[in-house]
Amino acid sequence: MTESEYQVVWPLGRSAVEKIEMVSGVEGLDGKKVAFVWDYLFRGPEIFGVIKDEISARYPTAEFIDHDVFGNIHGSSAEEKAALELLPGRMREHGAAGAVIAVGA
Amino acid sequence: MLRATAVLEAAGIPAVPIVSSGFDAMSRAVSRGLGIADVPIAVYPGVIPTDSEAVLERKVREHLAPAVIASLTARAVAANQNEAAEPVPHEIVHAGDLESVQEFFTARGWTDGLPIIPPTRERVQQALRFTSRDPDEVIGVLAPEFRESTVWNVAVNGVMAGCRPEYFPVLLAIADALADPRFRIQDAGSTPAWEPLVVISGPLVKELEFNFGTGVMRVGRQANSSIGRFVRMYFRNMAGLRIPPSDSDQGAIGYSFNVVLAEDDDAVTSIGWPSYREDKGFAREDSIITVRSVVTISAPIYSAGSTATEHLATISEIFGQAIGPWFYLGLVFGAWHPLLVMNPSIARTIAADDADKDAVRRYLSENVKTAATSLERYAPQVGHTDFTIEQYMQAGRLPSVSLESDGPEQLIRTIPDPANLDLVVAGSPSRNQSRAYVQNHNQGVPTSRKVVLPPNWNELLEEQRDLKKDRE
Repeated sequence: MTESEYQVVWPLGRSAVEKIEMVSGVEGLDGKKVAFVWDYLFRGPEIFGVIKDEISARYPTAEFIDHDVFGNIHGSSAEEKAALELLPGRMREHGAAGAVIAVGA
Repeated sequence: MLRATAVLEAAGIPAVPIVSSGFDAMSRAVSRGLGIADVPIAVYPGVIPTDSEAVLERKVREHLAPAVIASLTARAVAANQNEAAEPVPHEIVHAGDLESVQEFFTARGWTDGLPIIPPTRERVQQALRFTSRDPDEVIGVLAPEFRESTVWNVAVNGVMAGCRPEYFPVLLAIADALADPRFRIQDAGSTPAWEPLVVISGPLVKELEFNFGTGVMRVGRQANSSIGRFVRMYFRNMAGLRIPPSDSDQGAIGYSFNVVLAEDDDAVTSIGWPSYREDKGFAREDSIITVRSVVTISAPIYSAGSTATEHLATISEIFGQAIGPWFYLGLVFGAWHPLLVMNPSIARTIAADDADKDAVRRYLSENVKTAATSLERYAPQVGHTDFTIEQYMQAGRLPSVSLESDGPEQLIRTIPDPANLDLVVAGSPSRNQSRAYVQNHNQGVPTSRKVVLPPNWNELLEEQRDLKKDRE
């Protein structure tokens, strides 16, 4: 039996990803403010508390901005979408040098 | 969470996302889709909900916190790397016999594990005859992989799934629905592992020979099965939702794809109820599809008796068991759209007792309940550690009528809005069964589209029927 040959086409679509250049890191955290942002899932505040301890141990003058400043950034409801859009402005308003965002699980 | 990371990185603020291990590969896949593939992710080792407070503290102190600090202070900005060029639409990517096509597609994660029909240009063109839309029309962009859904690649994936060319207008309507932002296809890889379900209603049910009777939700009829398979394949190839060894679908257990649920139009007509499509605001002469999520299905609900109340009382009880504490997510996300599928005999009995569809919806809304305590006990175990019913009462998301009685035994109505309950008459004409399909809140919200047929539909359909006869 002779098998047919099939010439087959690509089944995917063109990628529409727009690459975002990664920002450089912060040079030390002393005297800087680190923001904590939560999607109100899993054990964010417990995790944030320990991270703050560890940052303070290495950088005694680091300061923190708590997650409740930013609201829920899960992005499902209109309120959460708005919190997401407002995030950069709120970061600047509070002088955040960097942000920790949790929790994906 | 990763969207927040992307928003901040785009604004020039370094951000560190935290995920638990097992989700890091998925997160990297989603990050690629968001354009932040280079951003370092801090990984918590283990399963957060099952670790004790002491274990969680130790893991964060020893593993997570150092990773977070390193990501903020010592991240290496990679030089721009040229990614390998992908093929382009319409491009022939392989030539070979049936086995080599299967292996080629399987190796690249382009199939669902079952053999495919080779998508040759000729087969794709056969499908495209059934629309006047431009093959290169971009229907939408499907997250999390952010690939363009086009008329062309709908046809390609339809061929692969075993769809006949005449199914193509249905596939296009489905693709239009999937691209609707309200459907939230980007959440289809979440751990509850909901499956898409297509409901079809209208004259096309018979014209395309869908099964709407006994075994309606079983694999076994080409229209129901191949179109159901197409939907899952399209999730895989355009949204990029793939189980391991790929990495962007995190369904914790999941179940297999749904075949298309077709409404029994003859039964609905003889009963005198409006059709499903009319419930959705379309005309009786239209054919429509709705795509919705299904996160779980009830046990078979057998109900007996000659009155509506006898049937609805039993349906309420088992419907409530199927929904259970999962309803808390309807409160959290403010969306809830259950579906009830009834055998014609049940619908006929209820209608003969002077109850219309709205009466069914009202009864079920008032009587499908679960214990309020189970919601508060369950929500933290899923991950919503701060959930209380009280907060949703105060926020006005939970109507006061939904909470009945006081004290620990209080019950909560789990279909608070009767208008959001869909009813479909289908399945065995000689049995008395219903099944409840529980939808996953704001993920996979029911999204309907009219199926648009080409002007020469009848001629094309006749041609396909003749071909089929010749080949049989």
